[in-house]
Amino acid sequence: MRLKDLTKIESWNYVPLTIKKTVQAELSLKEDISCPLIPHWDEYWESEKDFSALAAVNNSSPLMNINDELVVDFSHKTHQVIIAPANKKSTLIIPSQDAKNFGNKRLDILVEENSELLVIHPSILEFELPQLMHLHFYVQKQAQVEYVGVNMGGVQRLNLRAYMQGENSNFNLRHLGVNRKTEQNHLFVAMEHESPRSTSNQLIRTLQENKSLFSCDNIVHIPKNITDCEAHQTINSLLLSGSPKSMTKPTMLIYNEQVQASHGNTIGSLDPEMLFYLLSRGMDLDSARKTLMRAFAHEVFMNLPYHKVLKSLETQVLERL
Amino acid sequence: MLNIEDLQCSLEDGTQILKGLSLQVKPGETHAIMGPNGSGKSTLARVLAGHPAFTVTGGKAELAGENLFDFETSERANKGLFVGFQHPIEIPGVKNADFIRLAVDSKRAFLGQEKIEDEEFQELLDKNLNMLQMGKSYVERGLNEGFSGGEKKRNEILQMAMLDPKVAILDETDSGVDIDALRIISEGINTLMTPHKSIILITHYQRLLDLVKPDFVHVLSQGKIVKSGGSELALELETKGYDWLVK
Ligand SMILES: Nc1ncnc2c1ncn2[C@@H]1O[C@H](COP(=O)(O)OP(=O)(O)O)[C@@H](O)[C@H]1O
Ligand SMILES: [Mg+2]
Repeated sequence: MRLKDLTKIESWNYVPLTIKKTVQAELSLKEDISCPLIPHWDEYWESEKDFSALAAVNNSSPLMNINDELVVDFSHKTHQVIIAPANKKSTLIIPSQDAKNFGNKRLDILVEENSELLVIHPSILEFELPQLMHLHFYVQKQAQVEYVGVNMGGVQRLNLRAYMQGENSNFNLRHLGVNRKTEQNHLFVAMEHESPRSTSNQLIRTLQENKSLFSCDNIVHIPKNITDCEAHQTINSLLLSGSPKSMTKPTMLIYNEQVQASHGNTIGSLDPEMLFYLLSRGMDLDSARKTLMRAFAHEVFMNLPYHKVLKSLETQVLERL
Repeated sequence: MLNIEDLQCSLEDGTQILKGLSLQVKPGETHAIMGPNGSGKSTLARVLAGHPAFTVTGGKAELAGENLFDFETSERANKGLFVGFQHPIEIPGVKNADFIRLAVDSKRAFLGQEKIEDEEFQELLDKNLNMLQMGKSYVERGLNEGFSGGEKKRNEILQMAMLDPKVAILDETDSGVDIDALRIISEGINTLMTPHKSIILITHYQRLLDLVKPDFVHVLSQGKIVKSGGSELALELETKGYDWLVK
């Protein structure tokens, strides 16, 4: 893998690939969902292209090795190339990018052979100015990535692509979205299985209120000659009150039979039987609701490696529910 | 303690389930309610707890002299009503111990008491876990998550022990429970029973009533109590079945 490959600009084009064959029978595709739009998207679309191209060419950081732990600082470079070194455990922390203007950042992360990378990505925003983040992972042989992202508040879009380039590479994605008022959370995820025996897992959960909007366009791609892969995808949206919208478009592009794949997608409100159980033990409605919301969110953080930042992120998020 | 008169309730679609049910339970008494499947036993338990699927369309129910239906589900619990459910629900992500503690603190808050101290809670929890021969792992797990049928029932009794209710209605606590667990659960119930408390056991089986002796046995059929008697009635039902009463 050369640096040149890493920084090469890909086409900014989300036209879905045609589905030739889906192995999973129970895909609940919601056909009529258009590409979710951030307000004034068209204006940004052009600028994003240029901006990102510029970022990639002129504003790239030199290669940066994660030395155990790295907190990304975008203040000078909006596009950075980061390496998780081979045979090592490392942690990458991507802090919230709140700003009073439009933001567009990109990280290309080379996850070298046999490394274990934990990515902690809180994106907790106050301002409703669109913040775009592109994360591209290039996962090499036997490397493992645990990605935990929280999108709360603001208007934000995360574009996460994982290229599983080495055999037995693994990408585990956890995403929690919390949106209230008119906040928006847009997620584009592509799991590109480019090597045999690669595995990907996605657990995406969102809690929404009022007029908030969540959209999620997820693709798992396993080409014809790439066998023995495993890919799982779960998206759960919890609509709490008001008239929030949740649009999910999970797509599994699987072109061979030698795979294990599953997909689950639910949209609903708090389970009345669960609520009743808690109430019947004396909890008032408010704490019963909170308890269930926290349980729902807590599961995103379960069975992850311990890291104090992750722990405090979880605490902070659960407290705000 | 619990006084139910002519209780009627329906489902949202208007289907009437309880059709004039009366039952008086005094402090210190143990009552058993038996009856065919679908007769309304679980409905009685759930309607008293305030389950939203049912609308009370007539009659009354008083707990210690107060009209139960004036209160929300949580208030009924905090005033001392406990229902051990036939099918306790699983709530992953809520740690059992945290849940029990929230319940204990809800009751204390309701009674104007301070939150329970760590040490006191732990002691109380350990004592009751011991009594029910439950390992500590049960309270570290998600609420009823992956529990077997019998473990769920035991967990209901654990909650009852922690909440110390005035009236406990235990809905088929003996179903799906093996003999050893049944003995442990029964001993637990007997230990918790005092002259100031009342228990209603909903059951199909004499084997529970051998271990927890009822003062009264009632047969519920089609939303009404069709026969009441002493503990000998349960034995009679064991041999004769319900048919002679139901027809
Ligand atoms: N939530 C509900 N929705 C529809 N029907 C119900 C509901 N709850 C109870 N019923 C019906 O009410 C009747 C009594 O049920 P239940 O009280 O569970 O009986 P039991 O506990 O005596 O076996 C049954 O016919 C059952 O199908
Ligand atoms: Mg029942």
